[in-house]
Amino acid sequence: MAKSDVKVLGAWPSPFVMKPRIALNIKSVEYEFLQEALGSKSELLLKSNPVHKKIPVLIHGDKPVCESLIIVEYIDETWSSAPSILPSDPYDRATARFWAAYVDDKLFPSMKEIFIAEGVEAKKAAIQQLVDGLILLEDAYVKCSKGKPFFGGNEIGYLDIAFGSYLGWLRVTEKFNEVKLLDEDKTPGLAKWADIFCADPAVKDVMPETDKLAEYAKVLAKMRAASK
Amino acid sequence: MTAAEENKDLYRGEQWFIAPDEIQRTPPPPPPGTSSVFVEALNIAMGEVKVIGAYLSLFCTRIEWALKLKGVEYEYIEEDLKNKSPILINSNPVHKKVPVLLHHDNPIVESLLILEYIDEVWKEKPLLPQDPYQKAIARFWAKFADEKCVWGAWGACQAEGEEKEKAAESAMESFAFLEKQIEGKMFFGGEEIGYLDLALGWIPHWLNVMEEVGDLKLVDAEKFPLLQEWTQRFIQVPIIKECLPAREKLVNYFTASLSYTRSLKASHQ
Repeated sequence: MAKSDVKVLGAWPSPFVMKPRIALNIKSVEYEFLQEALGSKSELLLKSNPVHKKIPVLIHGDKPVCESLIIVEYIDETWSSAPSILPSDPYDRATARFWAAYVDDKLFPSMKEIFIAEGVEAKKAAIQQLVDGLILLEDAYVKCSKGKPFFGGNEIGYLDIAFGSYLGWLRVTEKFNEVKLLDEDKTPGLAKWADIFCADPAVKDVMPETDKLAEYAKVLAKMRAASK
Repeated sequence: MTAAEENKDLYRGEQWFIAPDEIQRTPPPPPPGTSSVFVEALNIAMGEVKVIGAYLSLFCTRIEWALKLKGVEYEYIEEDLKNKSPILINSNPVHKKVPVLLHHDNPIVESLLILEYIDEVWKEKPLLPQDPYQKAIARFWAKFADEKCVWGAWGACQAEGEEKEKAAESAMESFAFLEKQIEGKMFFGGEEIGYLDLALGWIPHWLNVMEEVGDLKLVDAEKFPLLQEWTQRFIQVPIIKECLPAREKLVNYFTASLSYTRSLKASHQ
């Protein structure tokens, strides 16, 4: 397939955009990465995702696919040769999808809460809420991995991608709040998993460096303050 | 959790706070003359698949539709959401919500995920398209509808005054996308009912009641003729019709929850 046949519309800091990029890397599919500028939306984005106007969008030929987890499943089904991203057993698939949705719907919003929370008490409460969620995920990791390094087993799978894509922002949260969120006491499995995940060949070139992301977070915070 | 916090979660996802306790759901008796060995086998088979649900919940009905379309026997367990059972809390400890599908005692939760699970285990009469792109489209619209249309519609029905007009406009923008999707098709699934039809199946019955209770018309034949036609086709399918909860009970439910929400709002002002 020609490289220009597969495009990803996105931005390097976005955890959502990272998901299809990791999936395409796993499948060794070449793609063109078209970056959106901060604060503006390109014509191509508005045309390919008229409903939400959000990144990521995968454009395969002339077909746009939207919503990061839906894109990952599309990638797995379209480039169906090994390695597989979703597990093969229906119950394992349902479990992986459940936790992926949990990460998107509960975990990531509670991470954002920490950034927004004002005052020591509010920040403490927000951090605790995130930690409670991470402990649930630790339990899920133990059950899904069954002693192997990844949620998906010996190789990165759907849930690794769904949660791992947030690690950059998790590290920034740790840095700004001087707190360890994935630690050897509360979440020993995940603490180890995080390093292995970030070092994986499919991940390491698309995972932003924590310092770079931290700078970006400061720019975002300034923009938010200015718009108030 | 304060009442306000609990209420915030009330209609999010699949939690319904009033489960009529006069509704009894018992499995149908085996036909007369059935041998006891067969009945025993039937019970074992039925015991394999259980649905924990709430009679009025639109999220739960979609599961029953899917199982019936696939010809899968199941045991239905009505949940009293004001007094959650250990079986619910143990099978869905994270969200404690209905529906839950129990298959060989393995719990599967979140209604759209349950539909996918059902489709993957019982492969006859597929619900999702085979083509990956069409599948992605179906998943996209089901997610969109659950996030924007259900809550958009109920939000508009609950709202009052100027807020109601704005909410109705926003809800109708969401329905306009669905109108485009049904263009040229019998069902969202094509010639036959599919995953997206089941995901949107609340529109013919539940939305209808929400509109009546909220004194608002969101999907009418003039603005959304194709969607309206689809609702008529969909509701006539026997399997769909037989699972619909009684309309008056839905009216009572939505009326009660509307006044509860409005009174909570008033007490916070």
